[in-house]
Amino acid sequence: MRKVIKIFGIALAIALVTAACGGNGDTGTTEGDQATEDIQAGGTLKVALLSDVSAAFDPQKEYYSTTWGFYRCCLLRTLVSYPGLPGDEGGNELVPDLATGLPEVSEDGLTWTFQMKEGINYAPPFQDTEIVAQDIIRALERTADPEASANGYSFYYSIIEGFDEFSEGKADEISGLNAPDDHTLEITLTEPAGDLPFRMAMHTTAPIPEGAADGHVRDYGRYLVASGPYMFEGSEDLDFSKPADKQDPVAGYEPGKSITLVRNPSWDAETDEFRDAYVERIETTIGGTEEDIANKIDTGDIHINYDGVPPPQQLRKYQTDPELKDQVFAYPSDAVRYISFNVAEPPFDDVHIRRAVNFAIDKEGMRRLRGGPLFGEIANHVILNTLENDLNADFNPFPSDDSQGDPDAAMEEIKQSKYDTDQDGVCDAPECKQILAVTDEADPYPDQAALIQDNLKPLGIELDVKEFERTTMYDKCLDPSAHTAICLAPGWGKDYPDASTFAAPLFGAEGLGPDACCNYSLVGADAEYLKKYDYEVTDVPDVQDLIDECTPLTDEERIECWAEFDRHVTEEVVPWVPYLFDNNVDIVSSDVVNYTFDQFSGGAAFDHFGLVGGGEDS
Amino acid sequence: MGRYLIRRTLFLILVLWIVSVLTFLIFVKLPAGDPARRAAGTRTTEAQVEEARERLGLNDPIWVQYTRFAKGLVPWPGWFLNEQVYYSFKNFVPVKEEIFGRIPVTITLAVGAGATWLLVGIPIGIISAIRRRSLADRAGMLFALFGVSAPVFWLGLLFLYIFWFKFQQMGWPHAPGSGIPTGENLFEAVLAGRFVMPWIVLALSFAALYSRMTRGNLIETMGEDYIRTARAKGLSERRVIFKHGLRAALTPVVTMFGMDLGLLLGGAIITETVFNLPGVGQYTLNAIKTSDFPAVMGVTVFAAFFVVVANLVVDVMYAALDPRVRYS
Amino acid sequence: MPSDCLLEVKDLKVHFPTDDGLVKAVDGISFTVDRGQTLGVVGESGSGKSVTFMTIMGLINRKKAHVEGEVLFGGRDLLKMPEDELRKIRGNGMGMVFQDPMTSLHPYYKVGTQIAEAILTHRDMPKEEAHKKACEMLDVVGIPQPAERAKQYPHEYSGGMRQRAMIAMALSLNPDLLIADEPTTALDVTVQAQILELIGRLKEDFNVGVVLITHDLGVVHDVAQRVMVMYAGRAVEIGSRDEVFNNPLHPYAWGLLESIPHVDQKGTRLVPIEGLPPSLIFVPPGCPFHPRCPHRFEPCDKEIPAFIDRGGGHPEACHLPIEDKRRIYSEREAGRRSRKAAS
Repeated sequence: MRKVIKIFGIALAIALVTAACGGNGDTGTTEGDQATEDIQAGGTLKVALLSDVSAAFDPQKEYYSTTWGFYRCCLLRTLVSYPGLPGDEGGNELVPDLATGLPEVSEDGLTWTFQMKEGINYAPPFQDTEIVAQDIIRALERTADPEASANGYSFYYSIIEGFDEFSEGKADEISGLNAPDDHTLEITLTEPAGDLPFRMAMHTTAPIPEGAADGHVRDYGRYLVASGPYMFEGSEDLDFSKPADKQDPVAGYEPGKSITLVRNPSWDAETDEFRDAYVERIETTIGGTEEDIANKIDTGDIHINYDGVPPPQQLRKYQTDPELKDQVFAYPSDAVRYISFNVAEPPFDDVHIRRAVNFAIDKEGMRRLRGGPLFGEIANHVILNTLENDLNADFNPFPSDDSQGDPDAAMEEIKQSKYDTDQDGVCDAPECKQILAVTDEADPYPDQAALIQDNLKPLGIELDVKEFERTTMYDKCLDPSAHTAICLAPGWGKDYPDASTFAAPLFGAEGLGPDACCNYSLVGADAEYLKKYDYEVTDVPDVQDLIDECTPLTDEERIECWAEFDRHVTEEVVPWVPYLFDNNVDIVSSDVVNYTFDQFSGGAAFDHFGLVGGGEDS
Repeated sequence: MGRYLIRRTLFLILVLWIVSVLTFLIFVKLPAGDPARRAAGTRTTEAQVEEARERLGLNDPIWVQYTRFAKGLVPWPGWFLNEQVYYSFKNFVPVKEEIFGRIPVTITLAVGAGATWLLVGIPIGIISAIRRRSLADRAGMLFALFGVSAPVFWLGLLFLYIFWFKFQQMGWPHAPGSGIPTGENLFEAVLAGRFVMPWIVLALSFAALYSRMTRGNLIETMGEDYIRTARAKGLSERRVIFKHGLRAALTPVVTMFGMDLGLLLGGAIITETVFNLPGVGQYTLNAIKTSDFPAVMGVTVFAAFFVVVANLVVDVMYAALDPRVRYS
Repeated sequence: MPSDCLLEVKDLKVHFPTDDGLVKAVDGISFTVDRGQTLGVVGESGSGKSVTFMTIMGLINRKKAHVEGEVLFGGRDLLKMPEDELRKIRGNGMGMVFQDPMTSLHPYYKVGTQIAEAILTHRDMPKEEAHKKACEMLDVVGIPQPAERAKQYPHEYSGGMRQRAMIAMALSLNPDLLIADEPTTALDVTVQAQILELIGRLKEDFNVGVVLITHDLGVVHDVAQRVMVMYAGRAVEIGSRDEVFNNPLHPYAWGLLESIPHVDQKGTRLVPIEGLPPSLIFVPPGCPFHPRCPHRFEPCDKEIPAFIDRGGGHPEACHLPIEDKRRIYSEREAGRRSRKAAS
């Protein structure tokens, strides 16, 4: 899985993956010009998926971008949604979907009103049922049900008045959700939240028809009633009149084996401004190996590998062959890869050491080991440029020639450190030896770790690198009692297009482990916390005030505030060495026209895909 | 015989019990991380974790938990892989449903591969044994060396690359690629030849082992006194080899076959992954990859069941094949 | 050649090429076996006894051995016979009983089946009849309740019973010649006697020629009419039992005889033959026995002694003049008695 796992707020990390070495030159996007041609509708899009979705399509449990991609393009409509386009074409901007327009907010910022389109019906067997405001409330009620909902969705909705009371069983309904009529939804909050529309674009708020999810606390995903242009094959055979345990799940989703989507006869293009839905059918096979799928893309048996990284040989072939070149697509996936210091663990409790490491790391080399420029843009600060309107695009407090590291500047920093007793620019204190470093055991992380070791050795900083399976690695980085001094392989992706998703979980107290996520650096830990986990350091940098300052702001002010936060964190706090703003790289078969990247899910947008000749000759 | 079977069955139950205790300890009592926390998902409130704990019955007395767990080993309706315990907390599908849905694929793969390796391995072993040090023997043993050393993963990809991908690119008649297309049932998939490459790839290393084993056993048997007796009776050499020699040489091979088949019925993980066959092995790998404890427990219990039953079958078979072994 | 001569072996040589050199397992041996007669073949291990008769049975791999000479059986040379014809004679014209009855029967088949298989190989008859015949044969060799016993597996038989079953198998097709290769070595003494008695009785009943290979001179003394003494792949003395036992002519035979307790000479000390049997690859020049022979003299290490009658009444292969042989043997006998008296 290469895509960013989106667990709200805690958005864990960029999953494994790699594309090893290769990928020479040719940075950025290779854009096909097919979009302008007339695209013939029809055909079957064949998709490969290495791993199954994480929670069998249950919208209140799914938290992988893979599933979000399927929901957005094909299965579920929400009040507002994303157009399935790259960021520079508006892919991060909300568009009305079930709603007629963006919501209206009251003066005090506490009441939001959505107006919904009329006459939109569900997919079979609910083809005669109109989607109404009450169905959104039903979805949020299911989100509040701790038994049906997983992965902390409620975190985003507890600002809705009465949400927590309903969740705890103290109320029969969520008082902050009102449907004055079938096509109006009023949401009352307990505190202002400028990003509520983003929260209402999450698919946990997608409408659920009355009775569909009853009795399917665990497995509604296999009985999912679609609202988008596609539905699971065999949806019309779902029989909700039977008791839930006597119902047969939908035929079009065989867990771990296949996902078959067919056109939803209820879907009307007239009501949907941004989904093209050219293809007639989307067949997804789950499993297999990247190598085998790469061959199938060559032969046209598969059109795209949705959750894999192209193997290096395939990439090399497609990049060098002029005829194949325009089948390679690279887009920023809105994630940053970085090295994380534990600011409470010597020697990284010293900001000079942290700065020295920032100077010393060969970021270009780090990127080369991931596959070169195709796989992203060198990162010099924490928050994605797209979330800051490029305000920090030129910000680079630790510059070096060609981003290959500046050992001299690094030594200058070391000289100022208390761990360099003779001030010769080489750390000589015992704290600099045998530093516990943790990394991922999968490629290319061990090679990257070796590069980092090489970069730091001249500074007298010697890492003792331990490799783990990725989830274990994250556990080791997160658990303060592990005293991991430096974590070499984490990644972070946005939850939704707002810079705040790069702040609180990463540098706020709420992200401190071991039970929360993902503040590996321990920035903002108080003395009590540090003592509890046996740290000798009693005082570490704290940015909570800055976070609180930016959170309530909106618009330009908000963005400028977060950009300032970014600069401060990167240069003064220095909890990370950010090195790469990650790209998503896809290779598609030559039958595909109008490949489109969806900035929201960080993967392909199937609602815009077409097939050559409408799939006639394939 | 009857008493023997009863005793063996009791022994089988004992083994399964030990497996159940170990599995229970590993996955329920000493897992890497709180199962309730895992089941509740990430970023959860304490209330949600507590709810999951209650739902999973982790607050019950340990013997209640164990009983619930161990019931999953008993082939009794409603008990075997019961949904209370064996219910994936990753994709929310009962483990039983997944395994039973996948076992036909695994059986097809295992039985087909088994037939293949017997049909290839045993003849090669026989020829190598009776034409010792001949060209055929050397070629056969070279094959065996290759088969034993070639990793299935590599071999599978190689086969796919050559016989499907390259042949297709050359415009030659080619093998079907990996996977079973949606909408195609197992029978159609077999007819479409989708199992031919997996059978061959899976069978190759076994064929190699079996040819070596057959060769070794037959050479040893052919040196036995009773073979000399058979020759002294004036039997034709063919009859000496095939009736007297193979009868003794193949008995251990047959029992080994039972064990290997039993193991494979628990899932041929690598072959199923490389060829994307939706069998139990693929499920096992996914379960492990996603730390889906109930699923891992389920396949463990299921595979243990198969292996133990295969053991029993093999022992009974051995006793039937070798009159010197008594049911005692 | 007398009309009741069954088997005539002329100058048989069996050499096995090995990586270490040529193993001259049998190096020129000639003898005959008559119908109704038991030929005892004695010699140490490695003297070529078994190989000689395995060759005659066609049980050695001809591809791995150089075989020369003639083996005339029923007037035909077995060595020149194609394999499938030879097979018709094996089991049919001559049967063989082996040393270890424990391993000589196939453990997976019923005893009756194994005997019937032998019958069916050579006779065209219904299976039931073959089984009946097998039961009869078991009865003949003295196995009680043969019908039930036939249905049993070898491991359900005692050692003696198995050897009886082997004899039943060997005789089931009324062969002319029965070769018994150390048939009693693996059995305990009382059973030995029973088996030997059985062989003796069956020899009369079936009027077969018997070859009894053994290293036990006592056994030979009890049942054989003629005796062949072998050493290093050659016959060194052949004669009637009485001649060989009472009037042995070859120093090796003397040694053998002195190495066993005489039934009538209780308490006689055994005198082992000094030295080891020679390697069959590097056979000593001249008389192969000369390195161990206390009576060797000038020609012994150069000339191979011819296998002829030197006036002693039967053929032997020792350079010593017959007078010296008689003298030396009587001296040795006298010495032995005096040692006994002294003890």
